[in-house]
Amino acid sequence: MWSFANPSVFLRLTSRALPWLSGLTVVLIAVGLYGAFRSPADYQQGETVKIMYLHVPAAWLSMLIYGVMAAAALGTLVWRHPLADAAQKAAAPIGAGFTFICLVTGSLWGKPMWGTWWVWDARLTSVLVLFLIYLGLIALWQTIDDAGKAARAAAVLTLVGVVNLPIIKFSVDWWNTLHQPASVFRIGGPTIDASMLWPLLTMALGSTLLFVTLHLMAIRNEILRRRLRRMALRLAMGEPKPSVARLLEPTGPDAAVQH
Amino acid sequence: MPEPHFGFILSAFAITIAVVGGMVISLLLEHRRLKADLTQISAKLPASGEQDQGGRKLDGE
Repeated sequence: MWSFANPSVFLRLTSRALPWLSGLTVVLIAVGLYGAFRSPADYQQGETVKIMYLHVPAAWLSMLIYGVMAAAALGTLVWRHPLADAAQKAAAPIGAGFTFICLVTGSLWGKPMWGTWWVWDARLTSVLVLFLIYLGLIALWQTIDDAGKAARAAAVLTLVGVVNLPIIKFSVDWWNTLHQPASVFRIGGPTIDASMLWPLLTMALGSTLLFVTLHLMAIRNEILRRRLRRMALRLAMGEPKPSVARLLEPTGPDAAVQH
Repeated sequence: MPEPHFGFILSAFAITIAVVGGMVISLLLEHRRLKADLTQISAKLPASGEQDQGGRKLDGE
């Protein structure tokens, strides 16, 4: 298990896995979109329900990505594994992107259905707070020069922010909100018709694979960025160089990520 | 009868495509830049065993 968390092994596996993951992601999203546009219009919402196929997967991902970051934060604080804080740092902009999509598509869905772009109800506000936490974490990494300190501070903030996840999930049950209650993952089964449910689940699966693909790409970039920093230090100190091939496609145990 | 909320649906899809496309393109461009920078900086570093101008070996031997 730990051997897979070695940055060198990670880079090698990623270069093999990314083409397959990208292809599978494109196929799943294409199938999901085909199903979404073939699905019937909602009897109340008409064709506006098509926004659901973007909004719901984005909402699901905004929480899943934060969960992944929280797990990575534990890896940083408990095991001090360098790949854990690379994974955490790489996930934050992607999480912010999907949360932004969730907020904007929700607003574009809300205006014609609710008659308003925005209300300060529990669900919408807690998702906005999640978006601000993502931005805060990105800013934290940008403002602290010491990568190790930044990783630990971000890990603590990430774990504190986890309290927001159950608030988002259960806000529609705990408070009286304009947002509808859960209609897919609920006790008693989904309330959505099968003709709409399968494209929605396919889109959710495709979006999850999209996140995995983007996350692997972002972690790979983070590892290379740290190697570049290390090389710049070597250059400044006049130390000899490792080979270029080793830098880009490393195999040795000493090629691990360092702060 | 035309869909009265077509503009909302189109905007939602356009913004999603723009954000996801932006993330994909920025990650790919950054990867290309990092690889180029690593190659460039590696070329500037002295190879193991080379000597500096003062005759000292740079790998510490």
